[in-house]
Amino acid sequence: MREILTILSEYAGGKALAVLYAAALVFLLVREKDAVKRALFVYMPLCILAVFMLPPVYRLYMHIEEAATYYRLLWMLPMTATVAYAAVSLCRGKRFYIGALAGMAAAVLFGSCVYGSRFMAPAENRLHIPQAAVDVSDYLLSLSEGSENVTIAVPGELIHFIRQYDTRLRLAYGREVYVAGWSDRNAVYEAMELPEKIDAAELAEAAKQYRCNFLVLNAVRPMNGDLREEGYELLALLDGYYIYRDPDMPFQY
Amino acid sequence: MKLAVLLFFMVLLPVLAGAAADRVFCGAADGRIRPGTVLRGYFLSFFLCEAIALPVLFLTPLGDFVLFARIYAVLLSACAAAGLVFLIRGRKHRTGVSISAYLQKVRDSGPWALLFAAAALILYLFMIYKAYTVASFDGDDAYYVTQSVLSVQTGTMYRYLPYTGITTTVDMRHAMALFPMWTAALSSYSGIHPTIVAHSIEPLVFITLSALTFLRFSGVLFDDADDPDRTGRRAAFMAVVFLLWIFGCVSLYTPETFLLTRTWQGKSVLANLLLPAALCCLLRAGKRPEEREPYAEAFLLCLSSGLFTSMAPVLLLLLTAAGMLFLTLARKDGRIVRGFLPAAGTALAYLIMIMTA
Repeated sequence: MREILTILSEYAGGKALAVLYAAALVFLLVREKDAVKRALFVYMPLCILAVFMLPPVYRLYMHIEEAATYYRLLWMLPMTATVAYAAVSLCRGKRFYIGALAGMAAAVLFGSCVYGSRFMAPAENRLHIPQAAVDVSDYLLSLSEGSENVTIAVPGELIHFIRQYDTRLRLAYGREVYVAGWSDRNAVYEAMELPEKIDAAELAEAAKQYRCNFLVLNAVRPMNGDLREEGYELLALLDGYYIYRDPDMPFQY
Repeated sequence: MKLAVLLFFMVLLPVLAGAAADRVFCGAADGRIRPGTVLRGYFLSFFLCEAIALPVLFLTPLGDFVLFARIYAVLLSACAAAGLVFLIRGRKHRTGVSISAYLQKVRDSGPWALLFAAAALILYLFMIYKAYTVASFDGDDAYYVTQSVLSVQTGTMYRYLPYTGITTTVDMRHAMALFPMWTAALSSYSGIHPTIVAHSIEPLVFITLSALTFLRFSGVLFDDADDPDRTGRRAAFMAVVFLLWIFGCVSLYTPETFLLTRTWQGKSVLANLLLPAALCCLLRAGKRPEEREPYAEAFLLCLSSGLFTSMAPVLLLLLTAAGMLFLTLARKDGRIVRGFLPAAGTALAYLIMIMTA
């Protein structure tokens, strides 16, 4: 039960929009006379919510899907339509605009603007991925001698974007290493991302093991040693990333 | 030119196919394109995508993407052509309200109706503008969008791990929800990069489809034809809905967050289009159980659901079943259960396919 309440609480985000929905439900329960609307906007959602709260349902769901997605059952609740309908119905007759304006004010006051989210930023291009990912990819492909299987290692901030641009660039490690339980250990990731200071020798050894043709390193990452002493060629500093090539690693065709 | 081709396959063909769906599934013959026509056209096109891609995925070596894209283009065009014929033939019997007549109705409904309609329009255009100019980060794109890019670049489907690029066998759980292949197909027809199609263009379509769904909601919720403020209430409803969308990002999990930050993902389509559209069908059937259209639309909707995510048939089945139960209790009308049985059965069939795959 505690897990279910945690999921509910995280879904609501600690904001009063959930309270607004509850208030709209109560309002419709008291005021709505239409049997069909009461059935679909009051009784059915309450029943869905009650079933959602049942621990046996949660345990059954965990057999089918990941527990982390249990909240998606709440998508069956018509929260937006209910709040909007209740707001417009709040005041009878010609005064409907009072309730509607109150609903709009409540949305702004109790909600959270999506465009203020830390996951949103002005798009740098029409792909909506960092321009650095595009530039680095284009540069590496221009050096790949026509190979469509170039293996590279890039830092975490580029991991998600390189292959959204061009899948001819293979990654020594991808998103799977960042999500617990999704993958086994990866030596390149451990050498490149985990230490505070990258050890050049360790990284070079891991990269050769994964047959990396190129290494891309954030220019601000401190390093013990020098990859050039490990046999790598420093090709460029591009968009804040050092780009190294292993001249002994042939391209695959 | 590339954009024109994309809009042709992404907008024009599904909308025209909607006229065919209206004629075949709803028996409509009035030659008019309504919001419901547009939605049914998209549901039909999504179903076609799934119905073609699934057998191609499993029956051809390496999942022949090029073959799938060709067949999809041909069949979608055929449905659109049929829709065009029905529209032309039906123009003599046109009923309903034209856009210009509707705008006149809004103008005649008083200052508050105009104000809320303007507010709703501004909020809608604001969301469209932001969808095109603001990038949102989501880790799942490293899978889904990359899957589209892989298909366009390799001509295969689900044969490479999107995260790293090494070859793999088909991942059954994700492969049945073939929505990235829809994106890939549109990209291959137009020559526009799949990631541009997903991130910059698809939000414009799906936000609009969700808005159309809620517009239809407003028509059913405020259905008193004698109410002089009906148009004003509908406009006010839409304005409140759009503000709730923009300010609904109270957590990472709400449909509103998915709608405006992950619009191009199947899960978002489920939460913001399929589920509201299903509820709208239930509401309309509850109001007028004798009408064929809500049942037909629910059936099309459930047919298309498998394309988006394995959760879609599950939630649609649960919602439809719950809706059937509560509506039958409210209306005591057996037509509701009979009417929604095909939709529920389709969702159940998908669920069985997913669980046995």
